[in-house]
Amino acid sequence: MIYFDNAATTYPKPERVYRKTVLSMRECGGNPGRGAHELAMLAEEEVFNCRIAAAEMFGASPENVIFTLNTTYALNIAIKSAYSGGAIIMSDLEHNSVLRPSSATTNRLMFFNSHTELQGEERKSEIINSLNGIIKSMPPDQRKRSLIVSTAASNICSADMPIREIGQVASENRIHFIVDGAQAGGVYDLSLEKDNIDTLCLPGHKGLYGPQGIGMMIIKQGSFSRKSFIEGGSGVNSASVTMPDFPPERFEAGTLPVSAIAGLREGLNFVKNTGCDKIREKEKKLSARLAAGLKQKFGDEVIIYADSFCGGILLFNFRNFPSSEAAAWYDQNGICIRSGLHCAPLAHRRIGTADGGAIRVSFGYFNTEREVDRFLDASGFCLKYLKNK
Amino acid sequence: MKGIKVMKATDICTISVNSVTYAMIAQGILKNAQIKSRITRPNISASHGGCAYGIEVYCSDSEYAMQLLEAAGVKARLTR
Repeated sequence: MIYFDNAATTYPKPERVYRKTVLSMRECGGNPGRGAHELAMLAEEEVFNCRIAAAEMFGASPENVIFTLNTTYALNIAIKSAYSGGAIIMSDLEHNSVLRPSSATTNRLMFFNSHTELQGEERKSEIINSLNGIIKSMPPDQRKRSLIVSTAASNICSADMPIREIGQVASENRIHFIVDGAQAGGVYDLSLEKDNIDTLCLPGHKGLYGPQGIGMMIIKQGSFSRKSFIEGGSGVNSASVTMPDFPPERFEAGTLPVSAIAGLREGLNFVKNTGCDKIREKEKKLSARLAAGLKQKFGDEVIIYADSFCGGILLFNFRNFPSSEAAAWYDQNGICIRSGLHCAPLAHRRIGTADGGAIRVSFGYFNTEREVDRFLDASGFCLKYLKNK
Repeated sequence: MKGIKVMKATDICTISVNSVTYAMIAQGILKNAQIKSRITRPNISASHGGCAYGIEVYCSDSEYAMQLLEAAGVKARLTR
């Protein structure tokens, strides 16, 4: 099997992640934050050590690392708990995990242009101009009650966003800034402190190489004045009918998935020891090899979208053939890729693939050049099949 | 038991903190200052908010421990 669907979830995981996940389930079986006996404290140590590792990686304090089920839950909490009546300003590359909770929160949605047709400093500058244009069009009292939400990197192509510059604009205008780090966590160097991010939402199971079922909402020190989102047991202040007014417990109702958290910590250690730069470079190299191979082998019969961006994701179609039919062929032949809209209709509209979507190949650190070459060979058979169908 | 100081319950003071997360943070701060501590669930009545977490330290260390926690921004309350 060739696994090229790492943007959905990375696979395989580092061996240490598997080992730690199982070990913690066997040996740290208590409920963290629900007692002070040995097993509860062992479980809490796992949780706390993961908070420390995440806080170090993303420039935050351990108590501001809030565990959630996944990025979507983190974004729902972030958007709905921080919203205070203004507009929600987002990029035109956002995933449904931003678009839908925002849409459910207000009908005052505004979109700034990600200018995927441009490159480098010119692109950065135009993105910021677009964002500033929206902000300036708003009355000052509405600005302060608004949110800016941006993905750090698209889930359908390798376009990234100038998070530090957007953070600067948000900070200057005193607008709460939420970053969707679903594709960027573990691949790009993100820092709440350096990038002026108020809330960073991350998955454990993608670029951080942890298990599924764990995500994080990391909040900036001092930016805590939000409504609770899910209420329930927190292990403290139990005589009160409201959730504690301090993080992380305010947002962590119910029992945490200790073994997933323990596995995530090993994933964080893997990323830290390997280095984001090295991971990104490897994915970039594989992506460039695939793009060059597709162009060389198929010429005009293949369309590669947003190919000026080179990173871990490559989006393409065989000309005149639906992505779903190609994906079905790859699937039947032991190649895991994904077709369609990838839960990101806005981004597909931006790239020009909203009608029928496209084939997404997404790389992880454990993919190899040999797999890329096998994929290219297989693609020849795929195209032949599509033509003869 | 000549030469060995036997600790009595009255030698132990409890510092209450917000939650187990802050108890872990507090324990790390105290450990860096060579202060021995243990995380507990102090007996706090419903009128004080219900369940909580605490750090047990030797009473002789308690005031210094409180100063350290305050300096680190950890909300803490000393209960002797």
